Amino acid sequence: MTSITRINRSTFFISLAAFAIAGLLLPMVANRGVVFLGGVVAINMVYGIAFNFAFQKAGILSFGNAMFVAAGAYTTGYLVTQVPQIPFLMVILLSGLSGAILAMITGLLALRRSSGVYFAVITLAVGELIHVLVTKLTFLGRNDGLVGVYRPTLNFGLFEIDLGQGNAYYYFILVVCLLLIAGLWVVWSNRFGRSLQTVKSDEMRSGFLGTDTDRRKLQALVISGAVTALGGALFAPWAQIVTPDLAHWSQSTKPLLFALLGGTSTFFGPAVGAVLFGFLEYSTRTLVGISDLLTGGLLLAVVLAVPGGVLGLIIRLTRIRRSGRTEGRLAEDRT
Amino acid sequence: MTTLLEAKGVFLNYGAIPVLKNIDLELIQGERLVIIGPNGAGKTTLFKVLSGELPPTKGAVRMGDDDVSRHTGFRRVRRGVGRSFQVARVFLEMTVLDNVAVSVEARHGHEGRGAGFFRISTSPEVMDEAVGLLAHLGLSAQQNTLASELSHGDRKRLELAMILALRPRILMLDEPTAGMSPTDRAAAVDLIDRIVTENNITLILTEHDMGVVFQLGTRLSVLHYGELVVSGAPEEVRKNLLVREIYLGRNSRHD
Ligand SMILES: Nc1ncnc2c1ncn2[C@@H]1O[C@H](COP(=O)(O)OP(=O)(O)OP(=O)(O)O)[C@@H](O)[C@H]1O
Ligand SMILES: [Mg+2]
Repeated sequence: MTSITRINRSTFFISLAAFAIAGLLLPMVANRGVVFLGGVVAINMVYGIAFNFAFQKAGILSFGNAMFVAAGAYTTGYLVTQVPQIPFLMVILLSGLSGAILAMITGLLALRRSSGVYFAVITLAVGELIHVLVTKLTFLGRNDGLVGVYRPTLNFGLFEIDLGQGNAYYYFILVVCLLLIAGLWVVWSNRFGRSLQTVKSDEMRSGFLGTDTDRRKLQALVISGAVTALGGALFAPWAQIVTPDLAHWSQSTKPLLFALLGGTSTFFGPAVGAVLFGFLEYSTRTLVGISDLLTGGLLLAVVLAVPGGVLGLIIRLTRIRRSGRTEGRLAEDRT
Repeated sequence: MTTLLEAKGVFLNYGAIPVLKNIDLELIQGERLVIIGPNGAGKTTLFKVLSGELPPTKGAVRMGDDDVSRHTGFRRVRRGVGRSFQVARVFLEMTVLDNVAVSVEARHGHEGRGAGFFRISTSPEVMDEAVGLLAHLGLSAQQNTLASELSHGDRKRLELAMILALRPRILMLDEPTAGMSPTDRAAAVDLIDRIVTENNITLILTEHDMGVVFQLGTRLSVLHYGELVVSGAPEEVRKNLLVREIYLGRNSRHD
């Protein structure tokens, strides 16, 4: 029986280490195109887990991904190109803050009044507003977006790291994504996470345990939005361009896909989904025109055939094998 | 005599339908007040207003010197109100032990006790308290069962354990023995009696079973179509003819 009060840390650290090692080794075995995709997958993992954190822990279905990504990416894109004297780590933090503020506003406007699909539609609407806004604002480059978003230098006083050199920025993405995932795991698992879970499980009961449930949901949305914006911030110098496409609603369906593909019930499910999605995109990249169709079809197949997601299926299978083994052993003992 | 909780001229309408009409009620520290009344009289609705689930349409709810009419439920919980639901509400997909552990943690949370951000699993201190509460309520054997697999009676006991984890001063129980067998009912009444006495809790409950009413209650109030018609010591109320007529005489629910 899974318990939410006794958390197994080693499962988490082993999984995180596996992702870290795979990420570190990638540039040694793959060409630049694949390394680029690797960076995108790392950021997508963050999007997926951040979405699922709000969804699975607090019961908030949000299609705010696009606006949070756009908030982070545009903040970083603008500051890097226009105000280069601000230290890059500060730029990243400000980008996260922009996502937090946007989530706070959306949450205050809509979380109390709506839930479930209704809230999701509101996030879509606000997102579309942001989308229109960025295409109209001259300082954000209108339909062209921001170009020439370079990878700056990290200045640590004693030493500097030029993120424009070689794979430096790739490793930077990797480190920040791993930190963000670790951070999300903490709030997923600790007392705060358990409190969120009570809100999702039975909001009325949770309130009558003395929990300010409106506040909890807002906190969950803000965390999800801030982390997603941090992902967007990492993405801007990686792509070296920020376009209004990031704010398009279709961007918001991505984390949902990762979560459904990998499984929503486990912390790492959406991360696994993001990796699988990366493989899918990569292997269908040459099939111009039908690649989207193929990806869509495969996703549909997985979601329909494996409702718990791929990671859910793997866990189920290992459980069955393990219990099968113990039963076998018991049978042997008896004979 | 300290009044812990008070309703003053409370009206509640569902849309245009008046459900509570001009309710005046005081809950005195240390007493056990039982609200009785036929189905649909408004007992649960009164609980909702007293506990903060619904604001009164008119009138006020007070705790001590403060008007808490507009305070939502969680704020009253933090002032010592613990409430059960007519159909017990527990976290169905969690184990019995986890249900109580998160309740203890909720209390720690609103007491302002930090758990430490990086403390992942629940602290041994919290777990011990949860285990103790379950032992107290006779649920130790079901500790690792999912709450969804419990019988309704056990869910009520679990809910009671969760509320006690909050260390309430006022306990509001909405039909705590409904749907129980006579033996379970007797056990539940003994349990409530013991807990209320041991922890110095002020009790307000609704109940249909007259045996339970007279066993637990120190004061009785009769709610009839949204109005409090009689209030007094159980024996007095029993003798009151009006009550005989509107409630005891015609109540066919347990006959
Ligand atoms: N959400 C609601 N909307 C409209 N009417 C309601 C609502 N809840 C309850 N009522 C009505 O209000 C009246 C009082 O209901 P309430 O549940 O408070 O009665 P009760 O005394 O608790 O009854 P019971 O003994 O069956 O639990 C009933 O006529 C009921 O139909
Ligand atoms: Mg009722």
